[in-house]
Amino acid sequence: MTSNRPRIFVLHAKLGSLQPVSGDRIETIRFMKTLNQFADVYYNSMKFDPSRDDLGLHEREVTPPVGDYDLYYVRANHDFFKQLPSPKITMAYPYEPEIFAEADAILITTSEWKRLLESYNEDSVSRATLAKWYPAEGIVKPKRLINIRQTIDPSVNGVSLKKIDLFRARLTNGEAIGYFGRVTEESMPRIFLSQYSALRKKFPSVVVAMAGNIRAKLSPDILNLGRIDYADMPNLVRACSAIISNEEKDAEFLGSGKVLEAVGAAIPIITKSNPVRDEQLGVDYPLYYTTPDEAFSAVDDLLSKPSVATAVQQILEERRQIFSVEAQGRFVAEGLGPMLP
Amino acid sequence: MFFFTFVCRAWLALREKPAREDQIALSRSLLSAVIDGKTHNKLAIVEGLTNHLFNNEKSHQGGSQTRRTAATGTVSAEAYENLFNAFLYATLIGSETQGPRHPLFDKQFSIEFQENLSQRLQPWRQSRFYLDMVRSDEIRRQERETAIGSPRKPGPIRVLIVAENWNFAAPLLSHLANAGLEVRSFSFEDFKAKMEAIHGQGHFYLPEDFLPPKDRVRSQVASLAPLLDELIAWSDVVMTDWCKRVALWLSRYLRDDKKLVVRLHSQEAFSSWPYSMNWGGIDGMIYVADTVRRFTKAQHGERMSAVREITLPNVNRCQSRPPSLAEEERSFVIGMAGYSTANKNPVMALEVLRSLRREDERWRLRLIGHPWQSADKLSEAEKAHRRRFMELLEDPLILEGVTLEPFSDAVEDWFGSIGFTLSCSEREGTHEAAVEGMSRGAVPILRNWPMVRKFGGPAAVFPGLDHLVFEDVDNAAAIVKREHQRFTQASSRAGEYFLENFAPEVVAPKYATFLREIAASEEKMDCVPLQAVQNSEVGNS
Repeated sequence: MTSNRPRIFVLHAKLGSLQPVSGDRIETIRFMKTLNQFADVYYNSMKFDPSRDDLGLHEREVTPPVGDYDLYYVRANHDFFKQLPSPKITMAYPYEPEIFAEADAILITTSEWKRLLESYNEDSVSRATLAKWYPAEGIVKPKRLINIRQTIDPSVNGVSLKKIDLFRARLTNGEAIGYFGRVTEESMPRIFLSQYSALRKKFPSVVVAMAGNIRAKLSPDILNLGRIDYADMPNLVRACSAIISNEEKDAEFLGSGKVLEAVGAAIPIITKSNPVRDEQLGVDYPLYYTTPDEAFSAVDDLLSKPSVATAVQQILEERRQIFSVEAQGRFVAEGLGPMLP
Repeated sequence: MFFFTFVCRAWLALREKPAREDQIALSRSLLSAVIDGKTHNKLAIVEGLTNHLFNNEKSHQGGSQTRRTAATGTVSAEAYENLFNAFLYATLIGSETQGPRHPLFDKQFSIEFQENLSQRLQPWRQSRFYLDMVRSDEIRRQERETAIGSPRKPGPIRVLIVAENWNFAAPLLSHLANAGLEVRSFSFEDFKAKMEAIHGQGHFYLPEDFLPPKDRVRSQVASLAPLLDELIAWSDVVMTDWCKRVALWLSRYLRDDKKLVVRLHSQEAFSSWPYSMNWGGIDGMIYVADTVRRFTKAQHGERMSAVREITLPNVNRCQSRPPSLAEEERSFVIGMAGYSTANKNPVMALEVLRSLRREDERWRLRLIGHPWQSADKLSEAEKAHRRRFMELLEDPLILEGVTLEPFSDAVEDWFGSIGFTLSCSEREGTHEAAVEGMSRGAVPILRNWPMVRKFGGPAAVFPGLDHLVFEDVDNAAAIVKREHQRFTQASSRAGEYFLENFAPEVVAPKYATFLREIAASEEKMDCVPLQAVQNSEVGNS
């Protein structure tokens, strides 16, 4: 039986197979799950199957695509990308002028990133914001910039009440506020942490817990959970009362999978305000902060004002609908529409 | 590292069968040296023991030259544990030898030990090590009796649960809160590295004389793990699950003005952990089964005279739910959860199945759980059991009635399709599978577990279910058939039994009562008698 669905080839860097072991790879897997809503997805020519633990993939040498595809998506493998026929698309980072020129579309995950790239060559503020990522002299203007947003991972296989209980025990059975991912001196949420002592004074059961690739020295009153398997993250997130998102400059245009994961789990996000969070959580979301005092108030409101907690839950539910894999499938299909049969 | 290797070699020597008298003597002398106050200098110990070991080996190997390495003076926690166990095992075993685990895990030895308990324990109780521990217990008890803490704040009792392994402790958090307590937790799992910074690679196994003074340890905890320090200060009672490493640490270092309750499972009753506990630092014991309580008290009761106690089953996760399969479909189905160890005795389960299927081939046995470990990870006894299990599976009468199913995190769902839960174990504490089965109406069929028979067996864990306890295969098959004849009633009674005795809503309030009593005892050792808790045994030994 022949499928009428488009066939999309995917490759991430030089990886013959793909496992959820880092932020970028997790992001690609989520994107494949989104594409899978309307297309047959092949990773390195292997049929992608999100229902399987191994995603239907096994270790295999990277080879040129076997068979015909309607679209090629390759991330972070320029040599491979150049050899592919059109239509082909790639992520907006890492930047390579030839690739930007050759790609039929460049993908970004937030409206803000798109806006900055569109205005990059003309606007010094945009250039300053993206200075770490793109050359100061300017970029090749892409044929098309498509915002694919990010998707809440529909995989809930890892959610287990037993495991959530086990994480609660590790989180002191208090009001745990989690910060997860790569933790470096640069990515430390300093505005929020400046209020940690004051918060603990008012709410002694509040505890900050960090997990992931932790490369910074943590204060001894922060729980260090170390690395947690990706499959267990939904349980850890659900064991928290809230999570914190990144504060650093890059967070002002990059997407954030952990924010959406918390949205999917209905766990509040205490977050520094920026255009990306506006896109993810809406402009009326009540737990934004810019200053230390606002960070304190966000937690204070969440823990002591039931009306705020209720409003947050309503917003999270609305946002969960927007970023669900089904809604995202429709959104991305529309965005990629001009390139698909 | 050298010392560790050295101790391992000593231990391996001890394991040889048949044991030589000189090996037993060696292991005794290892610990004699450690416990002798004059040899607390680690270098001297290592040097002295090295000489002893190598002289011993030298003669054993016919005079060949042996290696000798300069001592490092470092005693690892593992080395000490091995050393202590070597001494303890040798003391308990006398002239016999066992495997690397505590000898009480060996069925034959355990039964013999229980029969001759006083005699077996006499050398231990006469040892210098034991006398030192009794003295430490007394010192700690006196320190705590004179400690002045802050008055307890009004409101619910505040309980801090500390554990490394949360499998059985995690459900307590919400259920104790539902029972009216304030509950916080602290995981030692995330504290290991800091413990090593304080003690040096987990050195808190060592005799207290080896360790830094308590005040220094506590002050380091306050600086390196302020959350633990704050939670201890916040609490009225600290409870720890498993009478093992964390309990040992707390029994020595918990602030003098704080109460400590330890929950002990079957495993520790058969281990060396309670031997090294500081019983002067413990206010209350929770035993998960009465067999476990009786066996522990038989070994350590004389050091626990000031410790309150109660027997309470685990607060489990399962809830009473109706079965998922119709009666006629499950009443011929026997289940066993967690089958792949000799202790669970799946061989006997297959034999019970064969006995049943000889008369009626509708009988089926479903085994669920992790498969057997690979042969290289199994002891000889385990390998032999697995071999026999595989041989029996070749019998077509058995094979056609058996299914092996992978481990499931939601085994209580599985029990909904099971008619009988078969327990053939050599040793059990609470036997969670039997309890989980009852929550779904599966009738427990319980072997009179040989290794705890002297202390009451399953009848002590499941009072009133004596009619479901069997001695051998034929007896088991007969009970299954009898209960099958009245399955509706038997299954319904199993469900009721769960609700009456094991439902979290029934058990958690008993924990809360005991913890309140402990928190309320201002004069720790001059206890107000505990009020009897329904269906539980409470009181000082």
